[in-house]
Amino acid sequence: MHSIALIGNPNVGKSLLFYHLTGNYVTVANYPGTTVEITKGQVNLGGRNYVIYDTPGMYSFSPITEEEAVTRRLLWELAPDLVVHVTDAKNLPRMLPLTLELISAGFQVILVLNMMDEAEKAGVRINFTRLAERIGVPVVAAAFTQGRGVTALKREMIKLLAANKSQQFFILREHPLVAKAASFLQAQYPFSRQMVARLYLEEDQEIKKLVHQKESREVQEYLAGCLAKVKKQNDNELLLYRFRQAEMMLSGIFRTSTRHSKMGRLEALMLQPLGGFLLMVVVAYVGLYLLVGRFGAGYLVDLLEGVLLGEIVLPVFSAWLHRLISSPKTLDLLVGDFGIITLGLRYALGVILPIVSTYFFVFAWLEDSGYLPRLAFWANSWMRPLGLNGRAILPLTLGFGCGTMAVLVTRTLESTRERFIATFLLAVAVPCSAQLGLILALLSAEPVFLFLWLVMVGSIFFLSGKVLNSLLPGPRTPFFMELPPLRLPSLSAILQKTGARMRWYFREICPVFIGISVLLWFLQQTGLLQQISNFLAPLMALMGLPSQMGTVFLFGFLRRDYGAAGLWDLYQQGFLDGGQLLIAAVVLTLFLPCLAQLGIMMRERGLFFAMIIAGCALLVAIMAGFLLRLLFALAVI
Amino acid sequence: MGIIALRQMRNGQKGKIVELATHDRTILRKLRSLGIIPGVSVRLLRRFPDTVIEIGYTKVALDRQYAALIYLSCKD
Ligand SMILES: Nc1nc2c(ncn2[C@@H]2O[C@H](COP(=O)(O)OP(=O)(O)O)[C@@H](O)[C@H]2O)c(=O)[nH]1
Repeated sequence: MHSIALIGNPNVGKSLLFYHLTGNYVTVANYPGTTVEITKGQVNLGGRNYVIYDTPGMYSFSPITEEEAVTRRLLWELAPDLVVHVTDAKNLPRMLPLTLELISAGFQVILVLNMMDEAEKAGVRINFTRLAERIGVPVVAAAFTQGRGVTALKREMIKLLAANKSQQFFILREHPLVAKAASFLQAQYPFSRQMVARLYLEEDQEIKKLVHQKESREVQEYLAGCLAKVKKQNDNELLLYRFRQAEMMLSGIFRTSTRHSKMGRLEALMLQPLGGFLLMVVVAYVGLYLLVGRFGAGYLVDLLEGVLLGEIVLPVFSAWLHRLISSPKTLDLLVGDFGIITLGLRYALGVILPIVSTYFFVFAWLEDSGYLPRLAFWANSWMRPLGLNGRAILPLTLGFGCGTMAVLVTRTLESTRERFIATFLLAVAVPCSAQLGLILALLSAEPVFLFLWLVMVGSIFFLSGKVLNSLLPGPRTPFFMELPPLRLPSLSAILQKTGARMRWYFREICPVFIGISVLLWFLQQTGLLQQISNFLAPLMALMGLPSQMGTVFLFGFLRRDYGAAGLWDLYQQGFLDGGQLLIAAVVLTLFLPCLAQLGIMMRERGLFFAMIIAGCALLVAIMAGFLLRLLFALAVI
Repeated sequence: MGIIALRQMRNGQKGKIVELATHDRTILRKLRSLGIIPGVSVRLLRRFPDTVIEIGYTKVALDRQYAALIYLSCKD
C-alpha cells in the first residue's frame, strides 16, 4: 500500500493533523518528544486507503537525538510516497530548510504552513503562490486547531499521490562540493545521491558506513578527496547552505512585523529562580496533592471502588456468580481473595483508573499550556549536579504518571549517559501516579509522615543522581530548548489527549492485572504464596514490617500501582500502624519498578543495565527501610 | 557598532549574530536547528539562571556553555 509521512519540528501540529486525517488522536503535546514511537494510521483519500505515519520531531537530516534518528530511518526504510512537511508559519525561515532537504532527498513534498492564526495575529505576511513557485512543491496554509486548511491539503495530497513520481522536474541547487561528490556515487539509495553525498560530507556515521559498503574503492577515494576539501574550506558554508538557500527563497515574500512580543509577567515569573520555585510548589500542591492525591485517590476512589464497585456492583455480581457456578476453585479464581474480578478488575477500574486519569489530565494541562519547557529551563540548574540537564524534567515529570511511559520518553535525551541516569531515577525514586496518589492519601492524615516521606525519597533521588554523575564517564550535555508560546489549553484537546493516554495505559495494564490475578490465585492454590511470604518475612522483620507486607511487595513488583493498592488494603484492614505505614510507603516507592517498566527498561537500556538498576532499587529500598526503622527505634527510646 | 558576546548584552538588547565560536559540528547543528546561525537578529530576554533569547518569533533557552559561543554586533 502507498504510504504518507508527516514530518516536521516538534510542536508544529503534526499530531493534530494526524487526528484530522485519521480520526485518531495520538498524544498531542507542547514539547519536543511526545510522539516517541512512530504512530501508524489509515487515511482515505479520493476513495483509496493509504498508510499514514506520524513521526517524532525532526529538525534536519542530521539527527541530534534518538527520536530524530528514528524519523530519518523511517524515511530511509519506508521511502514514503508522499511527505507532508508541517511547519509553524511564523517561523518559516527556520523551518523551510528542512522542506528543501526533503525535496533534495527526492521525496514528493507538500509544505503546510500551520498556525496561520498565530502568524496573522503577529503580523506575518506570506505570499503562498510565489513561495510554491519558488520551491516547486504545493504550499497549503492552515490552522489545524480551527480545522482550517485540512480540505485543501487533502486535495493536494490526492493530486500528488495520483501523479507519477518521476514527473517531478524541479531540481534544487546544491553546494558545489555536494554536487561533485554526488556525481561520483554509483549505487542506488533510498535518498537521492545529492542527499547521500551531503550527509557523507557532514561525516554522518550511519551514511558513511553504508557508502563504504556499497561503493567501489575508487569511488571511495574520490569521496575522501571531496571530504578533505570540505574540511580545508570553511565547512560552516556547507552546514548553512540550506539556510542561505531558504533565506533567498523567502526574500520579498515573507514579511514580519517589527512589533515585538513582550515577555508576559507570568512568563517572566516562571523563568526566575524564586518565582519558578514558588510556581512549581503551587503546581505540585494543586496538581499533585489536591487533584491527584485528594480528589483522584481520595474522593474518586472512594466513590468508584468504595461505593460503586464495593457496595453495589461486586456484591450483586458475586451473588449472581455463586448461583451460576458451583466449583469453588473457579469461584475463587473469579471472585476470591485474588480473583480476577474482585482483585484485578477492582483495582484496575476502582483504584488505578481514577488516579491515573486525574494525573494524565493534569499533565496534559501542563503540557498544552507551555509550562513544561519553562519548568525545564528553571530546573536546569538543579539537574546539573545530577549529570542531567533541564530536558530530563520531561520524562521525570511524566514518570509521576506512569514510569513505563516515562522510560520510553527518555529517548528524547541526548546521550546514553543521561538516558541511563534518568532511567535509574525513574526506577528508584519516582513514584508513579497510582502509587503517589495512594501514598498521599494514606499519609496525608499525618502531615509529619508525608513530610518525612518526601524528604527521604527526595534525598535518595538527589543522592543517586549525584553518585551516578560522579561514577559514569563522559560529560553532561548542555541544555537547549525551544520555549513555545504560553497558551490557554482547550479543554477538548486536553480531554482527548487524556483519553488517548488512558487507552494506551489500559491496553498495557488490563492484561497485566488479569495475569497477576491468575498468577496470585495459582500461587495461593498451590501454597506457594505462603512460602514466598515466609521467605520474605525475615526481610520484612528487618524493616519492622508485618509479614503480610511481603505479598504487597510482590504485587509492587508485578505492577507498582498494584502494590500501592495492596498497601491501601493492608492499612484499611488495620495491619499497619503509623510508623510502619511510613516505612512501607518509603520502601514501596523505592522498590523495584513494576514488571511493565522493567520490560521497557530491558528493551531500551539492555538486559544488563536493566538488571543493575533493578538490583540497586532493591538494595536502596531495603536499606532505606532498615534505616527508618532504626530511626524510629531511636525516637522511641 | 561593536562586537560583543551574548552574555555581555543587556536584557532586551538586540543584535545580529556574527560568529559562533566553535568548530564542533554537533554543537553547530544544534544551534542551527534552533535558527541560531550567523546573520540572524536576536534579542536577549534573560541571562539568569540561563540564557533566553528571541529569534524571529521563537524563544529559545540555552545553557551557559552554548550562550558563551555566540558573538553579535549591536547598534548601541
Ligand atoms: N494556535 C494554534 N495552535 C496550534 C495549531 N496547530 C496545533 N496547535 C497547537 O500546537 C501544539 C502542538 O501540536 P501537536 O499536534 O502536538 O504538534 P506535534 O508535536 O507536531 O505533533 C498543541 O498544543 C496544539 O493545540 C494551530 O493551527 N494554531
